[in-house]
Amino acid sequence: MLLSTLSEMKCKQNVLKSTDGSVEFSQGDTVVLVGAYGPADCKESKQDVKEAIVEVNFRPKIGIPGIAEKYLEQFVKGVCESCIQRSLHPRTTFSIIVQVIQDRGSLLSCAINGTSMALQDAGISMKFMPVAVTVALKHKEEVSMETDCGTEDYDVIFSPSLEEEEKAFANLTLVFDSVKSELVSTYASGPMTSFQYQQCLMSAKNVSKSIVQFFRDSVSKKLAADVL
Amino acid sequence: MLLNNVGEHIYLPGDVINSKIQTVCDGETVRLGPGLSKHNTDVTVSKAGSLCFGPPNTFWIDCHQKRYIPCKGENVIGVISGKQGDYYKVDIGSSDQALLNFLSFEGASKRNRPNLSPGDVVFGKLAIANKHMEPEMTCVDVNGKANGMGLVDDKYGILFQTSLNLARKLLSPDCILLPELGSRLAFEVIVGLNGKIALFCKSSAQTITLMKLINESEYLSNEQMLDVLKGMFL
Repeated sequence: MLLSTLSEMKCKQNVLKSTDGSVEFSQGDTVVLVGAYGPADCKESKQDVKEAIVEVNFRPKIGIPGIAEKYLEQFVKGVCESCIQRSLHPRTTFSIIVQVIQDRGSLLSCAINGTSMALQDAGISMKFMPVAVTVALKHKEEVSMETDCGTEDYDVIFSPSLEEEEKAFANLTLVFDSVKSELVSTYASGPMTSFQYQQCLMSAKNVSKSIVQFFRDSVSKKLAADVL
Repeated sequence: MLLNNVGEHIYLPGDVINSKIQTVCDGETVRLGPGLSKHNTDVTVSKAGSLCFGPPNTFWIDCHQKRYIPCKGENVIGVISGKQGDYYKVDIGSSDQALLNFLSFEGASKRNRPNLSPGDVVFGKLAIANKHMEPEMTCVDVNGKANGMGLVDDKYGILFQTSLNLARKLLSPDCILLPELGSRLAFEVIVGLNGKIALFCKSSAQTITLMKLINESEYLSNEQMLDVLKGMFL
């Protein structure tokens, strides 16, 4: 079994002037631009008297958003609802817009990590920062001569590219919280055994810690320029 | 004494800072400011930023933010957006518009109402700020005097929006920008804690230059600001 390393991440905060928080986030070749607004005014028909509502909009690179985007929106929305302290701002809305600039695989995890940084950049009160890792399970292409890994005939790939996602028999996106590294939500496709799932979960959990460290470093960099 | 400034003191949402607080104030009652909250026995951070400490016992998180969240007693600048019954509606940049009673102006009475129209700029204090209600502004102090508050005559000036951080920085006694500028140039400035700044100079060219300078000073230290000023005024 091969554990490939995570692709390189880059993060540029406060890139848009009129948003409350914005981030250009890239994971390998996948790039998203995320803008976060809130707590903002909300139509009376949509208001919730107890807590703020969250809206997520996915904008594809070309064309208008379709069903695939709507599906991702719902997933990101669920993650945001669990991390934002919504009861602090009743009758308001948090609006998040994710513009896909380049999709070369692992789009969902890139969007969630970007959203996480955008919420942080907007100074929105959160319980934790969500951290997402995409994992692909792929059959080994040729059986290597030294079969020291025994029965395992698949590779685990972190942040797979589009081609790798296509070739994989199963894809998983796991979202953890930044504090205790507990699982927040999962997006899975393809058949896998519970052992394989557990294996992905454990290794993704370890990887998520390095992403939290990346978040910490980028926040420090932003604030280092901000010292009086 | 500030506990911030160094990379190792950056906190992310969700971090627990019990031990940090204990090293500064052990066994004492502490006050938690913006960005900190208490869950059972833990003090958790809810915004990313650096931890600050104000003697004797107050802690808060200093964080970069653009969206204003109303807070009682803060001085804000707003733009009148309409009338509703006995109230003006004022846009102060928060999620709800603030209310401003006709009677909360100096010398106003039921007979003698202030005459403001949409687009006028007012400077006032937040009398009510609560997450469940609309914020309410007032343009008089407890003695019924204007004390600098009220309608801002913006005919010869400009109103612009900055980050809340910059507004707080300009108002802080540690920041030398406004006093230094004042010793070189005659101008009038009102800084609202909601990030709105009203600026008045003798000429439009000066106003625009100062606005740019204020916007750029967000990420400058005191020494860097002095350098910029020396470059501008020789």
